Amino acid sequence: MPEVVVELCGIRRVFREQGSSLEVHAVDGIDLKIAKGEFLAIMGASGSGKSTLLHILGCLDRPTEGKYLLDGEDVSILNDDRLSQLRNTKIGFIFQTFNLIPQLNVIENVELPLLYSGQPIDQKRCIEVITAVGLEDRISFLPNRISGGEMQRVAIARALVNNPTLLVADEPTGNLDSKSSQDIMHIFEELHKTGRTIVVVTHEEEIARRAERIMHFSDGKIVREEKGFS
Amino acid sequence: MNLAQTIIIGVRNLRLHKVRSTLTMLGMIFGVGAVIAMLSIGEGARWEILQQIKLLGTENITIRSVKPPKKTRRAEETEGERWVLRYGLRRKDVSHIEAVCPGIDLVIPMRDVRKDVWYADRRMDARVVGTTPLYASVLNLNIHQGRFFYDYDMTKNARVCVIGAEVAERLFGFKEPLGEYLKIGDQWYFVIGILENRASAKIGTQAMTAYDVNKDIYIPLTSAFSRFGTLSITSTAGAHEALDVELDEIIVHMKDTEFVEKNALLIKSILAKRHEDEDYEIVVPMELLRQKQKTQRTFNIVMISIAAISLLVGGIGIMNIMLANVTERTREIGIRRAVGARQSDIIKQFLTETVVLSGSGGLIGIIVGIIGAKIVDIFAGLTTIVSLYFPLVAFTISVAIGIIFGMYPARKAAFMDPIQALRYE
Ligand SMILES: Nc1ncnc2c1ncn2[C@@H]1O[C@H](COP(=O)(O)OP(=O)(O)OP(=O)(O)O)[C@@H](O)[C@H]1O
Ligand SMILES: [Mg+2]
Repeated sequence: MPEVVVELCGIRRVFREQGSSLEVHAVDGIDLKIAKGEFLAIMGASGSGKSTLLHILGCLDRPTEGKYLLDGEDVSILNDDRLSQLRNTKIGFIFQTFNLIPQLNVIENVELPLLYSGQPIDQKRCIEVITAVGLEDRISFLPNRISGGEMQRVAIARALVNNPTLLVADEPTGNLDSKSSQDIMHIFEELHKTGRTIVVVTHEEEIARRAERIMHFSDGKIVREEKGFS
Repeated sequence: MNLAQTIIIGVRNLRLHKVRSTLTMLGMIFGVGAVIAMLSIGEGARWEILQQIKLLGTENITIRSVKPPKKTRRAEETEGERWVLRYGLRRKDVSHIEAVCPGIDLVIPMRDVRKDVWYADRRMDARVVGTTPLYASVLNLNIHQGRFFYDYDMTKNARVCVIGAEVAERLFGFKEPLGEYLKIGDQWYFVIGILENRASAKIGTQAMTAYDVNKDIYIPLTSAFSRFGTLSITSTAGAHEALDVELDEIIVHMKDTEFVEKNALLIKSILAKRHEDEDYEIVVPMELLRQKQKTQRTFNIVMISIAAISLLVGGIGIMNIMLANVTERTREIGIRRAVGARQSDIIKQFLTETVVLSGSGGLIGIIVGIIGAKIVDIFAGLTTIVSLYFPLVAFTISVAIGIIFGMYPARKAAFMDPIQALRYE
């Protein structure tokens, strides 16, 4: 039995519009276990609640109901400071829109999580992850001077710099052409080989196929699960 | 994130919008400049009042002879002693006050005449003051060289004099005045002492024209009586007038300021009984100073309010800019939160930016304020004093303003929902 990194029990996320009694059940009762080193892809129609689930997995949001154990710790009851700390130490988040800070150059963006870790900034580690994503000759470039694919690689380096337990990516190739998407997925595959636990949300079948396990999502529920290529 | 890193990030963000930051800082610069200038004007005024207290002595009551208004002059004077107008304080008043008033330390009579004073071929017009030996200590006159005269000089009607610093300089130049003779009117006097140079007090009432002691010459009262008498002749508009004034001034020195008020009333009633005309006036320096201090305080309050308002305006300007800043950087805040910044980290970051803004505005404002105070000093003729602690106070205030007016924008940034912030376009 492999070590379990993520365990979700009956997770629900309900949004209530202000001033109306309308409720949106974005995530509607999810039970899920993710083992250490697993590479999981989540697919589903737009509005099916994939991002909402990913935000909960990434400790950016708390479930309305249910239990979320990350590394055996119940995350659903933690306060904002503790959640921030978890995001800082155990989570690497990758966004569709890259979300780099435009005023900071490549290495400064990568350093960002370390700035809030309470420890001195380890420059060597930053260069190491930048090299791992193949951007060692772009270290002092500002984000607006590099391509979309390169920006996403910077974002991956930033997500990796604190050596997280769980890497979550919300449509990481959604804004990229097919060549860059291939590059990014290649990086994910490499990371998977080194034993990192990865959850990727995607719309593209071809991308999802690269994962070990594919989950299909509809109306906040898991409707189907299948095996991927790897 | 440590403080140095936070400050570096703050300065960097501010430099991204140089014009905006500079304009925002202007509010602080003028506010703090105003504070510094106001404080130094206030301090200068306080110093001047202190100087006056020293010069006039708060334990003193001064009574001066004044020429009574024409219509109240008694007829017999113009009939009997046709040309002589007799008025003012007499020596008997001195002994009477001495006998009646409680808590009196000394009563000093004084007679002054204006005379031409000569040394060799140099001449100046000076106030020659005949008085008693304790005059110097009561009026806080310090001896620079030599001595003031003694009781011995009084009884001997000695022809000795003590001269003010300016008299010494103008008559003697580089020569040593001690032991020299100078000519007052047509009589020779031996110089026994020189007074310390002292800034003259300007007190704003005609009743209390404190003389420039640097231009005074002091001689024993007895010598003044025997040599100059009590008669003087003045000519106004072609008409000659003979005046008979025994004493020009009586200074009543109390053991303590607590007696001043009561004795002022007492002296008033004593003199009212003894003099038929209002040929004297009573000046209570303590009261004058109190009044001055009161006006000064009102003035200070007004000035401080002006400074406070300009600081308030500066603070509001800073808050305004920081709010715009926070909105503009919503996405950045989301990113920082996503990679692990706590709410307190975000507060720290924005607060640091505000404080860097207000603090550097404050530093420049301090320089502007000091220059402003100098300009007021030179062009408006007001004494201004920049105390060492003013910059410290001003800097503390500007940092405090940064914290106070930066708190709201910083909290607004920190309490944003990270997910919403990340989605912000
Ligand atoms: N903050 C919110 N307030 C209200 N409703 C929300 C909020 N966030 C998400 N929702 C709703 O929850 C549902 C799921 O949204 P979610 O973003 O998770 O979908 P998704 O599967 O990621 O879609 P996409 O593929 O388009 O990214 C949607 O109907 C959305 O309108
Ligand atoms: Mg989504």
